Amino acid sequence: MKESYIDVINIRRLAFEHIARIAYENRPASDIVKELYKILPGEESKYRENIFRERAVMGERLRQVLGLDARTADRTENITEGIDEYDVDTRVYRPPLVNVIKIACEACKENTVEVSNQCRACLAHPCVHVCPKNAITYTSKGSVIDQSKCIKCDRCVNECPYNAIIHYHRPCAKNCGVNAIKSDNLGRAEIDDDKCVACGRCIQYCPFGAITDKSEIYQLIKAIKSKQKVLAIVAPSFVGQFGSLASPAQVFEGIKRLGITDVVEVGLGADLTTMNEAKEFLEEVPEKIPFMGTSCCYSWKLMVQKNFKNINSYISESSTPMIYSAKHLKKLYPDSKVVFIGPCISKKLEALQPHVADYVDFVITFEELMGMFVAKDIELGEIKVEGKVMDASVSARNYAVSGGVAQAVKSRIGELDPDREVLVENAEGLFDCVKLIKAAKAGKKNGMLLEGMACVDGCIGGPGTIISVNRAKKAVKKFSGESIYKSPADNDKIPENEKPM
Amino acid sequence: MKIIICSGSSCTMMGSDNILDQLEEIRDNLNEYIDEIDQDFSLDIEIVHCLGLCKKEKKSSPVAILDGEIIQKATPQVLMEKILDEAFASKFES
Repeated sequence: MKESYIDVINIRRLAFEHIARIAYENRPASDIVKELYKILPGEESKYRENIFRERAVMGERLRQVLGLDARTADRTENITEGIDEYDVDTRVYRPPLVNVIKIACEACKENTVEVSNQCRACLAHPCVHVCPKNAITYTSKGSVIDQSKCIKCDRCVNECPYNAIIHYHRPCAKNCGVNAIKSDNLGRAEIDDDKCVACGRCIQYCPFGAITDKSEIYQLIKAIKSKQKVLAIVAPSFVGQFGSLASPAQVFEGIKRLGITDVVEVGLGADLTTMNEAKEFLEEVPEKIPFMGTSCCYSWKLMVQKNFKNINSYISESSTPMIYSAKHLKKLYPDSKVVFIGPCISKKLEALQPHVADYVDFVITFEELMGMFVAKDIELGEIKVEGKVMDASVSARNYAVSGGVAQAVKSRIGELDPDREVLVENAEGLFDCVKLIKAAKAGKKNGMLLEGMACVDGCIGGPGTIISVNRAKKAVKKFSGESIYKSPADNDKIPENEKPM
Repeated sequence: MKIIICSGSSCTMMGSDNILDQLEEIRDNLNEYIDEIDQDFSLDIEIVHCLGLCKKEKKSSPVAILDGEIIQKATPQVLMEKILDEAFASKFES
């Protein structure tokens, strides 16, 4: 995926780098005009039909990195319109988080089956003879499908000897696990915010790079520059993301060189999540709830909340690793701001929740952080560091890979009650998450611990990651093995009074 | 052949790990791409710190050096083509 979509990905990353440069160089946000011409110089376009549209789209992209909504063509006035409100040092963005840049959307055909010009109008015309809806008519110029009858069963697609019948899918909609993408009056993608759980799949899969999420890097850098104490918590999937020669300790030191006071692994909070969820499972299942779902993936949690209201209470009430880590730091440094750095965009929504907003001030992705490193000319692999990063247990570091959360909780349950046998199941990708929760709702998963991850492969497959999942998997495994804390309870970075009894 | 891949920040941001992924795949499966490959042919991949080229010339990332030839804005495709051509040629030279 990452290798074949590299051009779309790089455009996105360039936008982060250039916005970070404006902020670090103390220039006004209105300088996005200048950056636009640096990113896309010259008179010729590279990807779109002309340079005007290419720049207009990039302009909307830069505005979204500042936190604004993408505008439609009837409202694209001056590119700096309305940005003053965003030229601040605190979180200002408002939902919707995921936006279609309408002027970039190519209005791909929605789910339709069509006969292409490869049709030879053959004598056999098997397409006609396999259609269960009598929707195909043979003519001497080729077969014709009556769209009002077609049920998209694909039988004609599979039968045609010339591969002349095509089932069109809109990549954003096809990859949306909660069916949140519809069309507007011009046939362009439109996200239904009542359904969207901000997993980011449509952002990754749009071949035109027309869907993006809002960023907070500009305001984060402003906060750093205004001499506020900013602390970073870094999600377990960070290992290996920032270049093959950058060790975890170098990444942490690099983050400090961005102007951040202290850095802690989110794995620390993951240890608290593990201990709390294990305790909760032993107390609640099966007496109070028939099964328990894990709580760390916010998109999974939102999906259950929005679509399966009756069983929402079966998702663990323990806080997520992000929240525990942020609370831990805010206790240590009372007047500080906390930025969560992760692979995930739905954490940006989680951080807006009333019970979270006071603890997590900013959320950025690994890609956005990479843009900051580049803007500040920080070469991670060349930083001299001593010592190792050691804030989290073996199992907490494995939260990054799908199955890791359930495994951590299961092991902890085994420590607390060796006689208790716990069956676990995990789903990765929203489609499978929906299937799993449906089966659980039907009573087929009673007594079990269910882990849901909206991203395939877990957090290392998140939309804000930089490297391939295979590379990340190896790096996470190695880093996990280096932890001196074999059990979450061993983690002496967590004060004993914060651990559940 | 010897390939050097820059893993500086700018190159990493612009996808040097993606180049590594594809080159390692081709290195480990060369005989799937070329029949009866010359057994002496090998691809040595080295990852290095920032080569500094991106600082001299903007928009040059990612950078690779293939047998001494500096390749800016490198793509796995350009590199793989050169490697496969060389691997194919070496069949007849040995």
